[in-house]
Amino acid sequence: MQTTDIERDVREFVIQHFLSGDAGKLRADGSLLGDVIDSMGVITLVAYVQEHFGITVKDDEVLPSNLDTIANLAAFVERKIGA
Amino acid sequence: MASIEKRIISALLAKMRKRRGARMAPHGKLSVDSTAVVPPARLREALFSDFAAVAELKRRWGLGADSLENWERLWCRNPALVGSGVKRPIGWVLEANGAIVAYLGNISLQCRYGDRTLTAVTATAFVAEPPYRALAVTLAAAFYRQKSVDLFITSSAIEASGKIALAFKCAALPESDYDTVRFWVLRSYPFAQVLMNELRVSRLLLPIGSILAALAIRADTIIRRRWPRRSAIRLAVSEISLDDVGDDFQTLWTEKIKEKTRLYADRSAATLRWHFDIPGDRGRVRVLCCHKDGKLDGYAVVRSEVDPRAGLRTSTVADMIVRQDDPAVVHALLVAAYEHAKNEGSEIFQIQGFTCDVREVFSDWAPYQRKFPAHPYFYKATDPVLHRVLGDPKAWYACPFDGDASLVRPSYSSCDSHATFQRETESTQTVVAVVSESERTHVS
Repeated sequence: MQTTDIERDVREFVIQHFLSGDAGKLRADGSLLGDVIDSMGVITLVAYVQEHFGITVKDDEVLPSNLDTIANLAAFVERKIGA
Repeated sequence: MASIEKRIISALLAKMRKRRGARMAPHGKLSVDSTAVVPPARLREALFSDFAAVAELKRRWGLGADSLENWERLWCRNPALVGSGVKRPIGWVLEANGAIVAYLGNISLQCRYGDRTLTAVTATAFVAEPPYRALAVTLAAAFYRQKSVDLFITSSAIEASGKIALAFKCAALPESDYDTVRFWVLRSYPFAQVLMNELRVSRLLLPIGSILAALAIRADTIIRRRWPRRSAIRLAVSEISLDDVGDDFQTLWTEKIKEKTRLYADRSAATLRWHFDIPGDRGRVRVLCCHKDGKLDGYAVVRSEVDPRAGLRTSTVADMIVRQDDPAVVHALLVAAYEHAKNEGSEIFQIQGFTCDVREVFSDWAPYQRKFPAHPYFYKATDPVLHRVLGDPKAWYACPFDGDASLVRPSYSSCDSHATFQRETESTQTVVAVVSESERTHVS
């Protein structure tokens, strides 16, 4: 699976589940910070990537650098799939 | 009749919650500009040099004042750390553009389970600026990935904290009643005044409204006999200060942990003194002791403090240990605690937790009840066998002594009393009023 496919799926999930389907509310840089998503949202998102991509996110991988943007999350998932 | 009562209650709750929502507005920046670029944050261990920034973050989000002396107490004079050679992070922060935007404290504790001494940690003061609340979970992850910890404890009544704890494979305390606080109204008029204020009764109607509400509470107290019952067995109870906690407490503790295999937070004499000796504490802590044949048979720690927002003085049974859980001693201590609360001038006397045997002692005193908005106690034992064993309510002796509930000043605490006051009736529990519900820990 390509990073772009992962990014597309994650972006779609965020838009549908946290932005009521309004893609315009997502920041241009794909940042999840601000008022896009809250702490429970991140947990939901991590649960989604685990189930959707068949990976396990360990406690020590729950880091800002893996979760703060859609691009970073997609890159993290790709690394996990490739590992 | 029930329908009218329900409609009144519903109206009361709606009004109070609306006001609560307005009052919960934080003292700092409120809104997030969705077009502004939010600087990325990095996670790191908290340092003592972060104190001023963390204290300001906590103050801004309503967690109250903190002090460097308290930090020194929690992390330099903590009996669970002193002499152990163990070094643990004092917490974690998220830092963005050189500013601290989120914090989670990490307090070391010791627990006993049978002959095992368990290394425990409790999370405290979870707070994050709104733009970084998505990343608050990374602080929790740092807490739960600590090594050489036997037991993780979260004693926060914030729904989000509970959900995060569950996401990290914690379990709620199996004691189903732990989220219920039993309380008695000792002075009805000040209590009624607060109730009227919460209902935003106009200034003109406030005096008469308070008088009528106070009369209703007094009538209800008399009709339902909401006070301690006399016991056939009279035991003398003495009152001492924290400084007088000495060797007899150590002896009681040593013998207590041999009685039953239950999970106890450490109550050695040194830990007891440290636990309740909070720098700058506005409250008053007194220790009530019951001796039999010259031997300490039990004690109760009662903490009295004025809630700075509501203005109500509340006395809480913060801890109680009784040899063999002797009901006569429990009864004597609780009666003495109730009388002590009255003498302190408290408007409320309250008890939370302990075992069902302890609660049975005062069940016929007809307490009011209030529930926390979310379950206030989650745990995770790293040993899967122990984790499974702790799924049995009988394995616990949980009370406000556990976690950070009474370890930090209530105004520091993450375990706030989101008070849905309830009145206990013979067969049903009916909500009568919400007196206060302010979320002091802000992680949404």
